[in-house]
Amino acid sequence: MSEFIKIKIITPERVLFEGDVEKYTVKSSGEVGDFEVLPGHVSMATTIGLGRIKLYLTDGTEKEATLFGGFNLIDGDNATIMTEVAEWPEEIDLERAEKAKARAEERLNQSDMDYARAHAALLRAVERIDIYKSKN
Amino acid sequence: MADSMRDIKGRIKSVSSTKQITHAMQLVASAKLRRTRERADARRAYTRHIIETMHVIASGMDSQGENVSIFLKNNDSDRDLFVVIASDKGLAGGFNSNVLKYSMEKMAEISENPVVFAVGVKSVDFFTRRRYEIAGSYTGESENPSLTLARNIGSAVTTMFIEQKINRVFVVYNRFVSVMSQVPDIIQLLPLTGDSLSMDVVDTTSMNEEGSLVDTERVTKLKSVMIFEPDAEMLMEDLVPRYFDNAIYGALLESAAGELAARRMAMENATDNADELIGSLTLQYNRARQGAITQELTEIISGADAIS
Repeated sequence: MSEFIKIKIITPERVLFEGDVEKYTVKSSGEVGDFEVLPGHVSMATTIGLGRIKLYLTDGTEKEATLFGGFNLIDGDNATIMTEVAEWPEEIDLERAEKAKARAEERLNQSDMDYARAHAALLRAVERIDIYKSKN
Repeated sequence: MADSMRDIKGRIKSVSSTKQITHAMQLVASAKLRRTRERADARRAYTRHIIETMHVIASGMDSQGENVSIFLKNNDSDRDLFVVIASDKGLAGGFNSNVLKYSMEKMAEISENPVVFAVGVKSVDFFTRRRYEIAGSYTGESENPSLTLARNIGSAVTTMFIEQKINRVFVVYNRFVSVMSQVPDIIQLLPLTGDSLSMDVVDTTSMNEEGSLVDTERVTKLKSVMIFEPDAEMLMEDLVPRYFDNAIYGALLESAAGELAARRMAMENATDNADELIGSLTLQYNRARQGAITQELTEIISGADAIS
């Protein structure tokens, strides 16, 4: 067992991150709360909820990125995260996120709209704004 | 004589400015092509992971085959949906006419009741003119398709499938073979088949000898120790739509790369033709100029002769 986890975060558009981390946390799907992965974790395949990923880098610093759903495959000291949308805080367009938030809130107030979809959109927008503000 | 010289000069000027445009378009297309190919490479890596994971999970499921997902089952509809991907703009040689003609042939060949889902202005125009039944259309992103577009198409198509309005779903697009060649191709997306789940349907070049992308040894090693949370069936439900959207995204990217390569070639040819034309026009111009000078000299000399 090594001290680190080799993690790879990939989206259809790029590899967001590839490297060693001491541990990382993602949102767990379904239940509320975080899911923390340490070196030596049992091999498992699971889904990820809407939220963010926090990477604890080997030099002691931390790095966060948005991570909206996805798939987490842990295989010994290797972890692969497959997701469709993931971005660093500096890549977030705050204005756009705020507009999306307003739009989602409006939709949630209209009963005929698709609730689940509007709710997910709201969660995404809030997370983006949150992570942007915490880093800038 | 002076008139024809001015005509030729005018034509040279107009051909030169056309050449400037075609040359610029050629450069733009090459730059965009490079970016699109990078995106296609990134998608390929992602697809590999998705497919490998699907295999690991499939091996962990109690129920095999039919119960896995409704996307694996045929339904009662007798209609087939053809997603036909062409470009938004022309000036790309035979790019559009090839894929559109090919899609019409294929429809006649394999389906009694085809319905079209048109992507790209040229595709929409083509099938509207021929009065095909069009179930939906998207335009405006043929050169630079987004993942969102792929997901929109994916969800529109899966909704129709779930509501049993359509049975089979095919995608017809130009496969990017090389910068010189793009070949129209058709793939079946729904219902998913066991075979299609083990390969990257839009890119067969990266497969191993058995025609599969999956590293069997690695999958066997993984599944013996793997825990599935919540359970394998639910994970599969999550992965199949990802696979599906991703296949559409792949076809869109292949088509975009093909379009840009075709345009680059077409514009390169146009630029070469313009060069040739300018050359022969310049020759004509010089001849006319020389002719005019000779004539003037003859006039002067014969005038001088008359006086003396």
